[in-house]
Amino acid sequence: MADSKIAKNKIPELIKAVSADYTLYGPKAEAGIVALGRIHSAEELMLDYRNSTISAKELFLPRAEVVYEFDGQKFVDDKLPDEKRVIFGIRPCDCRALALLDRNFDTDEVKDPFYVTRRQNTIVVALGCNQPLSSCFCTAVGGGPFGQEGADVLMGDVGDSLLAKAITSKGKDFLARYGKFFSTAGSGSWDKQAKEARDKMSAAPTLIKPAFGGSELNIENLKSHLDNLFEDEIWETISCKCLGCGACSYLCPVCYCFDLVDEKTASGIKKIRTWDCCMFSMFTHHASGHNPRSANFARLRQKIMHKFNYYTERYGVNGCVGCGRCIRSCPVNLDIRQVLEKIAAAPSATKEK
Amino acid sequence: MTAVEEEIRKTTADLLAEGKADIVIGFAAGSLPMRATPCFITEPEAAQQLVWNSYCLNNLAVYLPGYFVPAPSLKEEKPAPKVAIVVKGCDGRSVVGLIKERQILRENLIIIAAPCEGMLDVDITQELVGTNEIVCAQEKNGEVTITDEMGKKTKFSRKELLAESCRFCKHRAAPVYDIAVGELPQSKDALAPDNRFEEFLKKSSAERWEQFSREISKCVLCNACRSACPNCYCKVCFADQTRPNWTGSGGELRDVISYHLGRMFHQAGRCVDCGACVRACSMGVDLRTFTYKLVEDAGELFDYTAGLDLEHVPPLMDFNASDSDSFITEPE
Amino acid sequence: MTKENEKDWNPRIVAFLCNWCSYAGADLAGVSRMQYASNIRIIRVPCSGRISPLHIISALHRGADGVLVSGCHPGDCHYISGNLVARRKFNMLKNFLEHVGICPERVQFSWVSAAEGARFAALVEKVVEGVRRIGPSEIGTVAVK
Repeated sequence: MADSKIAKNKIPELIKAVSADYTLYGPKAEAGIVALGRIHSAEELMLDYRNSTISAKELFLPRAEVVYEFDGQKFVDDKLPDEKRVIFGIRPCDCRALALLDRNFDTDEVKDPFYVTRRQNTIVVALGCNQPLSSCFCTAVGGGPFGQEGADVLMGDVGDSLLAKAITSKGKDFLARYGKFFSTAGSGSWDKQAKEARDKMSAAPTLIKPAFGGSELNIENLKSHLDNLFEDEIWETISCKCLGCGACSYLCPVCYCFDLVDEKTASGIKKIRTWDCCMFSMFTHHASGHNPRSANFARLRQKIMHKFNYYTERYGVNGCVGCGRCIRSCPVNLDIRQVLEKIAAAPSATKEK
Repeated sequence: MTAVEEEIRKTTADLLAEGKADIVIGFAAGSLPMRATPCFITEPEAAQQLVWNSYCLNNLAVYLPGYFVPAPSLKEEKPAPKVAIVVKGCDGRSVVGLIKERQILRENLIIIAAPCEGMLDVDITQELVGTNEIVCAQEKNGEVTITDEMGKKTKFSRKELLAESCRFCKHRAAPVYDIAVGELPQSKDALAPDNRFEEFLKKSSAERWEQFSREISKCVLCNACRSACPNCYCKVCFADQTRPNWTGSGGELRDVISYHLGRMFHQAGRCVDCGACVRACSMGVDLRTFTYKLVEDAGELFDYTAGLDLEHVPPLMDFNASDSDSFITEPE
Repeated sequence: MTKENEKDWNPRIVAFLCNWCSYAGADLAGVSRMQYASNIRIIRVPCSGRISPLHIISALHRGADGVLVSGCHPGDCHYISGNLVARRKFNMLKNFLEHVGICPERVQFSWVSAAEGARFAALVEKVVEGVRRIGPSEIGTVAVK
């Protein structure tokens, strides 16, 4: 199934070689969290981790970036971010999120130059999940612990070595370029690990107190159900405890809403794109002072609708990869799985206003 | 803790059934191990959802100002709801602070004080347990047995797993309340203090700046700290103002630093040291090492601890002709 | 806000002066031809009580190497108690900024009356010297994230 394998004790050499040709990014320990950052040496790279705190979205759609700069006389010459990069060891959920972001930032009609340039200049080497967390639910939203979508190369940890499989032609070239560190796997396969991981995810509710009725999250028909629930009172009850803090959207690998701000420089201005969040109270604040989503429940409704209704309608797939970061990071333990279960259980009579 | 739970549930059901409260804010079981989640009860039957355990960590006072926001026009004016809230020491003190700052109506509030011997923090516990995920925690006689996903059991003393702010807390009982449930803690001794703050104080100016800027550089400006803090109830935060533009949104470290300096200093004389900001932070920024200075100064300069009673005016809302001039620069 | 050359660096200090006392004192120093360092940029405000901690933080943010806030002596405020309200705020702010590692000489507070031209000149000299000794602002020289 896999193309080749690399013994774990050869990984430092591979890292060294890759670092010489590319800027390398990957999971690393940083003061209590697992960050996705520049890897300068093999010792920094952390491959035995569950998932990074901040997602790979940061590397393609940074928290803040200068879109253009005008110095008072002319535009400052700014290059597109064409650094040649390899991201090594991120999880399939984050890779799938990149594929979802592509649908928004890289279309026939509109190509975001910053995002597209980064995507084109980056090789994504994913590492499958042997041990999903109890908050992971990628299998419920169309992904999986060894999913391939969005990755150039997929690797699987089979104990003393990593198996590698090229998913795209970019990935094939990558494995060929560094072929001397790999050996052809022969009959190497990660089926066992993948099955165990999937089984663990189905069984997860029995390991901890069932959060939602003891069965794996089922979101079939969710979209059509949501269509009928816009005016429902369920949103007010669900959103009571939400603080509108935005931690969920910031850590979400798919959430891509952004704000454009002008900032003064010494002689001119800079236009900066920053992350924004539909959960912030000022998100839909108009210049007139009117705010169509001034109530918290309206904002939470928007978040769920966007991810599981509008995005689905537009692209045929949910705007969620089930990484579970929102569940773990929410200060008030607002669990999106519970929200979806409540919605699925809500009677779907349309309320006439 | 079960007897207390029963009492909280009964008190809640009674208040709602008798019409003394329209809504009761408390905690329900969380969806992850070692978590409880804020819960809003409006029907007596639903009171069964309420729990009271070692994971009731959130500061519930943050929800209160929202119930007492005046309507934008007289036409839309409705009577304010009667809100009951289950509090421990820290959120109980936040409630007192908010009453003094006129963000909540005392007469529409029923404060239910519940006992607290410090809450356990799942992130601290997970750090001690390692990479294997915590699956359940069982407490008995001051000891907590953690079972991880591999079935391995580890014993900890309760003190090791306390949330950071709970370690230092000297006021575990709500100072002002209408109904008391269970036995409220009387002791004013901190449970498991350590000297991390004192260690920071010993550092040189340059070292302190290095640590401060390094910690703050982890911030992604998600504003979770602001949203979780009960004292941050401003309709428009200074950080979101554009005229004037106090802090930039470009994410330069200068902007992030100014945001935190401004936000933290707004807590001067008001912060109850509940730790909600630290726990809400998505990136694990250690805010308390810096905010605690404000708590300490309020005590040392003005003999004030936030939220202990309804009479004392918060220090920065007051002045005295005899206030100290020791910080003033005198030219020779 | 980068300083090109350490040797050429001259501290830039923003001074918030209350209109009735400190600004008048500065005026008197000028009219009396008293010499003092030209590193300060004066901003006139009605009262020291007008100064918000955000003004001070913002000045440092935008590149000031030092901030001086000066008002009437306590008891002499034109608005009776503006400086008394401010005094507690300034005390806590100074301690807080020092706590996070901003050198104490960087943000300073003082009381200068309208008759104290010489005192004002001496104050400026002292503040500028203090800032020169500790170097450029920590916030101004912090690396871009």
